[in-house]
Amino acid sequence: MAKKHRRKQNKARSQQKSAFLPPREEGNRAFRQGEFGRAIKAWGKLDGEQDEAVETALAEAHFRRGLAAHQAGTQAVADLRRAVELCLDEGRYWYHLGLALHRSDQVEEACAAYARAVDLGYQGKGLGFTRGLAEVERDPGGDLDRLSWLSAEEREGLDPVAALLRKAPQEVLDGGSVDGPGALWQGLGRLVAGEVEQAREALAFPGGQQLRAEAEQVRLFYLGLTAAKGDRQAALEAWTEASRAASRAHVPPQPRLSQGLAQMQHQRLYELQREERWEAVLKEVHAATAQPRTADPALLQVRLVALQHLAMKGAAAGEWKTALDRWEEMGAILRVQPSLGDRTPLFRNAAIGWEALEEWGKAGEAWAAVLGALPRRGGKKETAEIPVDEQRDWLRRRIVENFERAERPDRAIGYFKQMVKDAPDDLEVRLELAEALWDNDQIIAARNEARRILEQDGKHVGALMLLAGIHQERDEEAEAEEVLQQVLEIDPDHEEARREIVDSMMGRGVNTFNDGDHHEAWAIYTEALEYGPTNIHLLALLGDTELTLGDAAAARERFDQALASGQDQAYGEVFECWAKHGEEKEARRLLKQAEERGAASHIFYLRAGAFCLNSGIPPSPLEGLFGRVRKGRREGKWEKWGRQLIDKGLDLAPDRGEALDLVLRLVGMGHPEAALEYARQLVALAPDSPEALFSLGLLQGMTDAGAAKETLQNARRLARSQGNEELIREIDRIRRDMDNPLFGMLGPGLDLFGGDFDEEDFF
Amino acid sequence: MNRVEDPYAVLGLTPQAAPEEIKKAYFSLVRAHPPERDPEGFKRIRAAYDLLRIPEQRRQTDMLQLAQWPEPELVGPDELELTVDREDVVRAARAYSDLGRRSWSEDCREVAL
Repeated sequence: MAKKHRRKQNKARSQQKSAFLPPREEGNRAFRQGEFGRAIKAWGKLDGEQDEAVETALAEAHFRRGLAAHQAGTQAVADLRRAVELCLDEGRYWYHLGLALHRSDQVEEACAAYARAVDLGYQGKGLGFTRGLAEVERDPGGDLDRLSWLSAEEREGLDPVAALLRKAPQEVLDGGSVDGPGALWQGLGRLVAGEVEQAREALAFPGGQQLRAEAEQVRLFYLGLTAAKGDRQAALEAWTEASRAASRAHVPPQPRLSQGLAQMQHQRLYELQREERWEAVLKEVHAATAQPRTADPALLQVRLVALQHLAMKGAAAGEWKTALDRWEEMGAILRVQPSLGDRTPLFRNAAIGWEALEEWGKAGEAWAAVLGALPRRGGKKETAEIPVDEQRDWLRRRIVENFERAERPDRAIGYFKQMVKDAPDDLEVRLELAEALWDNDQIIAARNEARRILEQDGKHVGALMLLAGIHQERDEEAEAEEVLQQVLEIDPDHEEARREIVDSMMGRGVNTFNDGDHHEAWAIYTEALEYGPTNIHLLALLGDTELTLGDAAAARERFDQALASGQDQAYGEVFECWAKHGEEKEARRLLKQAEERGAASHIFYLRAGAFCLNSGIPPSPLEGLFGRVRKGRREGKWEKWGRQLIDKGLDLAPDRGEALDLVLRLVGMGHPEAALEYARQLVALAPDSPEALFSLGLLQGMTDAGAAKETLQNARRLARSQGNEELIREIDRIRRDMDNPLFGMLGPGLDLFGGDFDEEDFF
Repeated sequence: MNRVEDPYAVLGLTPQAAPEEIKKAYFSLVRAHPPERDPEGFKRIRAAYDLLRIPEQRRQTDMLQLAQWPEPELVGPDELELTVDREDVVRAARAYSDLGRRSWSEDCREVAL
């Protein structure tokens, strides 16, 4: 360092001194010191004197600078042109101008410059060959005989070059030397002729001893190229050596050499990936991608793919720590190269991994990162399968659950509180906190947080919806409806608020109706119509209430409105209303209408039939306690019609098994006698289905415990062979319950239809 | 079906599949892999179906599905062209001409004014 500094000082001192010299002296000194640019500058000041000596000196200085800059083509050509301009009769200058032009591939001009140099008497050992080469490059098809000045030796050297440039390999192969460059031309000739193996053999000679560096680089490249297909290792070795040869010759490697090496690596990675040898892939790209910030993005992408495969493999084997390490590595790459992909999937995978390791706190943090990466409410359009709002709710609950398992229930709330602290004016974040509080059963705190949002923005729809939800949960229906009305005043198109308010009013109406206040129920439904004028359930409830109140005309109008909605389901709803009120004529008219309009699907028939079947049994004073089985009873007209409809539905069903399954669910509870018949049909259709046998066993249990136990035993055996542990547990539970003498009276449908058999309830 | 196996893949479906499609795929696969002939296959199919048949369970399954890294399509390298470039012939030939020469002291003259 000190030495370099001293050298700098000396140079500065010398320049400082020369600043006081006259231009002539200064130029002389600079020329002697090899500083031709400075010499040109100094002598240039004398140019106006029209002194021939000055011009000669300047020309020589330009010549020397051009010679020194021979690799920098444009500068060399400019200097040598200037030298020629200053001394037109100097052959040396013309020759070197020719060389500079030749190097710059301005071959036409180079040929002219060489000719001028020769005319001026320039002589040089390499002149003939160089000039001849320029002529060959200019016109490879030209007859070399016209170049009378070529010596025999020069001619022999140029013939194969011209032939190769003409793509005439046979001329190369037919004659000439097979040593040194001659061997190179022979090898290239074989390749041009399409004889790849022979080319490889011809090129496999010790070129390092026989060829100049640039020619050796060419030989090595083609040796590698001819080996690449069958012997990749040999190709790689040749190309690595070619790269070194280029470096030794101080020339850039051929573009095809770099491409070949890249292709070779691509090929290797391609094969490893196809063979799913991900560890090897990772090893292959590791060195090249050690610095992700500057690495080739294509190789980084390969590394990410390999890491993901290894992570998934680890996860599949239950090696979650390995998987987590891989995902962490992927995350580190994506942090510095975000354009390569989104990190959110990694957060999700990490969360699942930490959960598997029962590292609940870390899992909670990872889920929180997934939540943080979700699109903002009202932000970009959703593309996911699960609506973003549903994902948000699920994630929030999961975060709370994980932190609870980590015995840090406050952490989830703390997490959201921190988010609020970081962005106190962000009402969306505050809403996240409110919802997290709600998820954590801190309902009062959640309500307070929602109110805080509303203090800042009284029209915040999210906060109002949350508040309405809290009221609903606390059975404060009137308050909930009031808040939902506010939402609809702010956003009349808010579908969820509209749906919620209608549902809430329908719930209130049903309760009022069941309490016997039919007029009040009618008033509630009528008010609800304002929010859901086309809601078919509401229209059906209203029509049903009007039928109860004896206003059939009004009911018919409601039903027509429901049917006008175009929803097939409306036919089912209206059918049930007429059937419920024993209006067989209207029910049949409705059925005909549904059939004519193509709304009578197999599901419609099954549901309508089941409804008729269930409603045909007169209510028992002990209904719900002893079930509705009364042996020996004659079936009424509704039951008969119900069976007909069910049979029609079964005939139309694309999958009879599924249809029978639905019938069992619809009538098992209300009409076990009929259900038993359908269960038998299902077993006949699917004798290997443990679920079908289970249904049959349950229904048999009503009347014939022995047969039921045998059927359930068969169901259990099949369930075991199919590994259906859940069903086995269920069968065992039912078999135990069957030993209870009250089982037959209670009815079999309790489990089938989601009811719970609990002795304490009964007694 | 193991923890990380994609139930949609087992049933030959995409995550966008409608409930009816899930049911249809399940019954079709069960017919092809009856428990008495392929008990293991049947178990896998049944387990996949159990994860998807109920909407709440399906949502849980979807949320707990390990996310696959979107892999770019695997494209093989182009074939190496077994041709001889003009530039390479010229490059090698020029190495034997004056273009490859570095020292030109005999062409240099000393000048001074």
